[in-house]
Amino acid sequence: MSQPPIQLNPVNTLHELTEMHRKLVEGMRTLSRMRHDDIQVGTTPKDPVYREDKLVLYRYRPLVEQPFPIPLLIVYALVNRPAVADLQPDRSLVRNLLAQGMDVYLIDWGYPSRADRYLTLEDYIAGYLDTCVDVVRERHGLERINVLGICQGGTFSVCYAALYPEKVKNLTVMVAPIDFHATQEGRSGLLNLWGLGLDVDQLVEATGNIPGELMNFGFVMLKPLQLNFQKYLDALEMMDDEQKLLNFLRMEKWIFDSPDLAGEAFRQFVKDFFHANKLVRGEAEIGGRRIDLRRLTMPVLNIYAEQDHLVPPPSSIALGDHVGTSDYTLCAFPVGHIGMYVSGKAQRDLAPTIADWLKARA
Amino acid sequence: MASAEPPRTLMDFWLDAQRQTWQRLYGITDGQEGPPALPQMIAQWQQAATQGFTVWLTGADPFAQVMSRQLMNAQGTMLQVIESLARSWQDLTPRLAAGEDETRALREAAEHLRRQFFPEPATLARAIQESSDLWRLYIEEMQQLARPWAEALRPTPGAPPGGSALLELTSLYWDAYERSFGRLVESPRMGFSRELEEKLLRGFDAWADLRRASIHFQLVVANIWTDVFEQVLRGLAERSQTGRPIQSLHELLQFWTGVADRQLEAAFSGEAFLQAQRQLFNAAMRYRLHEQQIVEFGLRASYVPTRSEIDEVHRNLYELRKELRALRKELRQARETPARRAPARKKSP
Repeated sequence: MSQPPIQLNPVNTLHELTEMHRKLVEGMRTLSRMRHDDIQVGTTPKDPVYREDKLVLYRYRPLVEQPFPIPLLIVYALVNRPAVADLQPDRSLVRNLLAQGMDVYLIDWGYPSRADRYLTLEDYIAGYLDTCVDVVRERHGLERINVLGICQGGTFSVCYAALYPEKVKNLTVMVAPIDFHATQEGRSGLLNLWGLGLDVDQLVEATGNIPGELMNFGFVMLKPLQLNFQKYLDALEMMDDEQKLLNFLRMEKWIFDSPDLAGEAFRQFVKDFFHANKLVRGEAEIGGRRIDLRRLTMPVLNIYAEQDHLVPPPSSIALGDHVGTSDYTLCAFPVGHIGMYVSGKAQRDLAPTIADWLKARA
Repeated sequence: MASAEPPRTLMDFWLDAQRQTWQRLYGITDGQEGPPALPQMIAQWQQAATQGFTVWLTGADPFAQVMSRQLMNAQGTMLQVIESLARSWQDLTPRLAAGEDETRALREAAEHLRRQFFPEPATLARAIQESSDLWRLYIEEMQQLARPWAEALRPTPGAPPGGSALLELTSLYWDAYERSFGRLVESPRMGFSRELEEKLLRGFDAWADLRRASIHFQLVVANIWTDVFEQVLRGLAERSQTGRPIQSLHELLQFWTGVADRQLEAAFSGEAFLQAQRQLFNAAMRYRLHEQQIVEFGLRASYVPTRSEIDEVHRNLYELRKELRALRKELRQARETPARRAPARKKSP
């Protein structure tokens, strides 16, 4: 050994520790002044325009006098809450789309209770989602509207658009898993690998709905030290800045606000999509109707995150091999899954990318 | 919440750990003089921490308490990691300098580190070898399982006798529990039906499977952590050889979490982990189903609706709702059919 690998100078280390403690104590002071209600997410003004069971369809109040005439319906995942698309005023995909002149609607799936355990993918896609599309179409007197599906909501939107192509003008999907067996550098995504060994029938029988905490535990275990430990140490660095602390707490609030997942829909999603990869094999069915991706004849914009640790990029990119449209655009952002909503790059470029693409296809 | 622990004890523990950490850390920096103000600095820490804890413990919003605890835990873990890594390296240096086999020395140091952070699974494995012990533990768990709902229904001590209807009801439930499930699980070999005996025995098998799967999983995870620590130590050795020493706590932590997460990610996609995780998860769910059957037996005996019965009601409601929705849709479509040929009517958005 040429020299000791850890050479902590006592004076510097002491200073570092002292500074850390100062920030910790300052942070606890700041925290003690805050109340849970101070940590608000999803604050962009919006109005409920339709309710069904636990679902609420919102329309955001446009920021321009004459919004783009074809409204955009955002379909988020069942996992976690759609607030991530509107985390705070200066980190909000929704607000940025509104600023681009878009007329934005969003489906809030709500928090399924045990009474919802029998809801199927058919109920979500051919039921709730279809009804929401109809509501928006009717409100605007249009045959077709624009749809933006995010994450699992992107998978749902792809299924929906393949079932009802006559109702979708343009389809945008973002960090959406499509090919669930796609590998990156010869390796499958961890979530896919973990899902493969799951006896999903038994899980649903035993738990009814899938607890949100269980899903969250799985996500956190993808990077256990970084997500359980390092991020809280990093948070110390911002403890003496109330605004930065609030930003951190908003993200924490979103991450751990995990609705349970309706058991039957989860069972079907895991078996048909994760296990059997039926979507890209042309074998997936919703309510007895086969999902044929070649029926995606409308323009498609597929946006993925290059450093996505939840949805490996090849899983999203695969959509291009299966769509029936000749107007297909693939767009990469050099961020991670969550960075797609909150990173500076995404804040600056994502909404204009979507809006410009849609405006060119009015 | 952690504040249930006496604040003084918690604080003392935390401060002692920090003081020791610093002193040990200080001890490895051979030949360098410590800052003269060290005792005063420690005193300042103590003061700052006391203030922090005082604020934390008095009337803060629950979310702030949770957040504070996470921060404290992260910092505590950080200090432990620093101390352990530094001490390991301090122990390793003379062994490697003496020409000891590097692979063996690193592995042993990694194993030692792993034991500091995680319990020894072999101890647990030995403790439950005997089936009689298994049975005893199983019954204890079943009692634990049954008690919360029964306890929750018990009258509050000191409440007026025969007071509210709720208290009467809770007494009724408690008596029912005592007459049925409580006694049944406490006397597994006497006076219960064949049906329950079978459920208990099957439940026992599922529970034993779960314990085995759990121990196997812990063993696999323990090995993974030994590998993680070995990689961390190897990484340190590389930095030593290439003259890239770590010079700050921040750098040390970044190095540790980076190496560890990469190693964990690789291990978590390895067959050994996947198989152990699969076995544990599926065994846990299998046991939960057996557990539900046994609990439901007790509930039925106590005239309390069971999960299965409520699920059945939910299913019926779901199907009725779905049917209603389909009928409404058909009706709407039938009404709209003549208007379909005309362009869609615009409503003000």
